[in-house]
Amino acid sequence: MISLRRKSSVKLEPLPLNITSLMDVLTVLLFFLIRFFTVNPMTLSIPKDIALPKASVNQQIIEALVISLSKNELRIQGHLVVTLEGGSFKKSDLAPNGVIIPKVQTYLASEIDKRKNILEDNEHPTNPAIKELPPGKVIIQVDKDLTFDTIKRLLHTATKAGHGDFQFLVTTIQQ
Amino acid sequence: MKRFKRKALFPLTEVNVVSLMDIMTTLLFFLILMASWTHFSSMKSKAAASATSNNEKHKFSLAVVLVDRKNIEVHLGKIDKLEVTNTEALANYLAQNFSGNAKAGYKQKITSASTSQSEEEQWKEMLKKLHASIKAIKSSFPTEDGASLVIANNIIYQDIISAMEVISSEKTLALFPDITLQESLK
Repeated sequence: MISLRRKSSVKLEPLPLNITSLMDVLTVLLFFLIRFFTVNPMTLSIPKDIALPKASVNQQIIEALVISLSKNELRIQGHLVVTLEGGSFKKSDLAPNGVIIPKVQTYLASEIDKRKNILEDNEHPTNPAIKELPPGKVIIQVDKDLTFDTIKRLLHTATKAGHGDFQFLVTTIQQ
Repeated sequence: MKRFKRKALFPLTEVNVVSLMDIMTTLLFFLILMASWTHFSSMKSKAAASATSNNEKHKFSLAVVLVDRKNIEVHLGKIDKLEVTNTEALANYLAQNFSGNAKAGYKQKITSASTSQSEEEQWKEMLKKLHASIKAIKSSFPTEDGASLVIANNIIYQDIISAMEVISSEKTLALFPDITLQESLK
């Protein structure tokens, strides 16, 4: 006990901590990241089960409704709409013609209705142009190994629901 | 001259940067977590219109058909009533690589010639040939921007994107960026 007390009584002199260089680093890093976010204003979350195709294009992505199609599921804006079996849509999820996916069509049509409602509220309520809006834009994230047989059903449905302007998301290869 | 006035300094006090450090560190980690280090881009296309009007009979028409991984077809519509630049060069190119004529339209079949290459190498070789044809057509129709991509059911998405890339641009030069997707009915 006595020995312990002796030890604790040893006083350490306070050392001044120089954080100037650390502050410099942090500030530079902070400005770099802020700049990075200014250049890439759109943040996209790619589902883990989607491996995007690669391309050497460099076209900017315009913010729009996001449809993600993996081998297992189809999500719109992150909401699970339909599940797939072996990279194909289930027959029960398809319309009798085998092309349209009714659940997806309903979801997308409601998005178009929202758009029309906003325009009707904010602009001229009787404007006939509202009835003939240009096709809605969609960002499409599809797994690179899926076949067109599956993808075409999504594209047909999106077009039928008024979203015929596609932006296919790709991972950019730097050349 | 009255230097003593300058010596009237403010009392030396230490600036407390602890709270500033807290804010910066929090912000830094937030931004690092939010940042995506993968660069994304997009390939734009539109769905095909259901019908073609009679006014479009004498319009430029270019369609690339992805039959399967070993067969690509290029269809160039009638060009006899269209304005063509570099007429001679186009005529030579079409005579060498396409079948058909100006009144009926032209067709090119691109197949992989070598069997010693892997499937991936063969596909890349075919895309190179497709690119050469697209470039030759673009040089004769510089004002045209639209092309159709007709796709068979068995084509995988990566191949569709690769074909779209070849049709739409060459590095900084735009070829036919307005791509319309269509389903092959064969």
